[in-house]
Amino acid sequence: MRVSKIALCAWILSRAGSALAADAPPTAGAPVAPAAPSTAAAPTSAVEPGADMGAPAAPPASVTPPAPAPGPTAESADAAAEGKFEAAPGPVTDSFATDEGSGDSDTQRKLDLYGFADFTYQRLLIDKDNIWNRTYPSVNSFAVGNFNVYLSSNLGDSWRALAEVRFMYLPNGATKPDAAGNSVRTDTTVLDYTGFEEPIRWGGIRIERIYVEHEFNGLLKLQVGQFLTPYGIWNVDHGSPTIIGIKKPFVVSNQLFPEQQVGLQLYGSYFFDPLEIGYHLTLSNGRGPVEYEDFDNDKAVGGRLYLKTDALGSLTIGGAIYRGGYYDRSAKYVVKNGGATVDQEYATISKYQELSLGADLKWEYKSWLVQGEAIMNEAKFDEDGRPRVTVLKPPQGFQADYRRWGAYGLIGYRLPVVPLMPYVIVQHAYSPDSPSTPPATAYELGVNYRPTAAVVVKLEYTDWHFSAPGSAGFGSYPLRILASQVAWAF
Amino acid sequence: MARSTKLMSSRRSAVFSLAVALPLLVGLPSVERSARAAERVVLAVFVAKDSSLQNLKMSELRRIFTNADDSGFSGQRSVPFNHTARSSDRVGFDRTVLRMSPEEVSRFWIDRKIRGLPGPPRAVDSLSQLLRLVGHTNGGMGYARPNQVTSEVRVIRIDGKLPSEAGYPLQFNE
Repeated sequence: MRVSKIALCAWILSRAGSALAADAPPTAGAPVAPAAPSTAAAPTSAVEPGADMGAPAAPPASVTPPAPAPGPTAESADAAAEGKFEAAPGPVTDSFATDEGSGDSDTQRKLDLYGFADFTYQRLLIDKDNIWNRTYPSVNSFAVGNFNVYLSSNLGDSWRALAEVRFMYLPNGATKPDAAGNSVRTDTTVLDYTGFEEPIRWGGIRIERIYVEHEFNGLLKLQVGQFLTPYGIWNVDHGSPTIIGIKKPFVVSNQLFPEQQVGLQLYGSYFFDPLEIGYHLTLSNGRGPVEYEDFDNDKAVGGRLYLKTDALGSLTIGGAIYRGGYYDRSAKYVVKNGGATVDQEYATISKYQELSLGADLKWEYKSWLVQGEAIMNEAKFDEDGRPRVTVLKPPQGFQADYRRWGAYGLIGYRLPVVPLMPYVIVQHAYSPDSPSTPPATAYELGVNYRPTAAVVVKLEYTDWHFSAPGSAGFGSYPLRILASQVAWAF
Repeated sequence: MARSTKLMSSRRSAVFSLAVALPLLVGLPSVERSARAAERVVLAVFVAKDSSLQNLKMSELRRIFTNADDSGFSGQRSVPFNHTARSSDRVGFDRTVLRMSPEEVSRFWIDRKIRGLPGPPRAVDSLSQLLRLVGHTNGGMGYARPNQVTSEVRVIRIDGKLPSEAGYPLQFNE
């Protein structure tokens, strides 16, 4: 009796399972007619390329079985779609204005608003008397680091625009040493007149990039405005959800190339299967104390050339160059011509010519990621343009010419089941322009966990090794950092 | 003793029940699943009727649907239209052509947009709309199952083959 009951249950369950298994899966991309059966074994079609095929009225015999409906969609569903289609403006040929998963046709000239943010906690794994406890920024603190908002728009006729701004707590809390050796902290506290004059702190907005672009053809696209300098990998990956590690390698954060430039950028690419060759050319104000003014009338030029192939994973090899001048000056008003004219006189604070070279490699093969960059920057000062070096302890002096360089390499492997990428980064930096910064090598071990495409959780341990104490003695103390971060795109 | 015998009998019954039930529970659905697993889905890539495009390599198709601009001097770039994310043909297309899972595709486009690069092709939620968009857009391109393609558009070869020909690369198990 019990056996028969179990057998009966099993039979019912099995039929239910069969019924579920026999249910049609979601149809392709649209509420469409039943799918075509396999055509893999179908006889070769006599249809010529270019000929219509698969039309329900006269389907190629070898390809499609008789379709139950003349159109791909049911009448009711299609009517709505047809109405939508008729009401829609012309198709968008620019993907800045398109959106993944969007079925809306009314996308032309829409403003696309998106961005990313991150939240970081880090602490130093060092003794209490280690001076890094007092000099390293944001120790044992929670911090919202980036809150970047993008605004992009297709302007039509091969014109598009992109702006990215970063909202910051800064300048509140930023410190700067004064002449007496004090570390002076900026305080932006003000009284809020909208309430009862309670104290609030204001922050700043940084323009990361803003440009308008015109596409002449695939080989020639012109951006005018402020753009990220096209060099290497990290500077262009840019956003915390996109980059693998938590902190930029020192050689990137130390800006051996300027991070952004204001000017013109020409770029383009061509695909010689299986090789893509691409270039960027830049003309800008170059590095300077003010983004919107070029004091020395000496425009900076730069470029990047890269080769990319998907023949074996995705492999990109690139090289970049930047050459420009830096000029900072002070000004004072003077009276000339017996008091008839007020003019300005300039005094040079700093003036040099610089050259930066970079090489980069990125290889994504199956679940592996290998990337690395090597960057060099050298500066030659005018004899009357050497600034005083800001040093924390005497003797004081003037800035010497320098050549600084650094490199990093990253290897990561994204696990097959869990979206987790353990990674290792090794980096080295040599910065003779900053006497207090000793030559340093860091070994980083971390995991990058991406539970969804838009959310990344990172945990990273960094062990810095210094090969010299440096002018301030920092290199005499070990530096070990444990950091965690949640970064998200929205 | 009697209790022990009853227990043994009960265990035998349970084993027998399992022996009967398991094939029913597992076997029958799996037979049907096997039948379905063998079902191949073929996707035809189509363009506007007046397009001069006749053939694409898979690598070129991949670049078009990742919005790589290969227009060269002509500036005449293809304008891909996609099916909505997570639809079965979209998932199959992405796996076959882009070699990416849905999660990898999402990551790919998010990362590109954060880099400031163009976003994904427009996804169209109606096949008739897709066909009309492709048919009326200069450089438009889409994909669908061969029996869904109408005379508004024209199917092109992929790696030199039409969907009906043996060795056609754009097919996958549903």
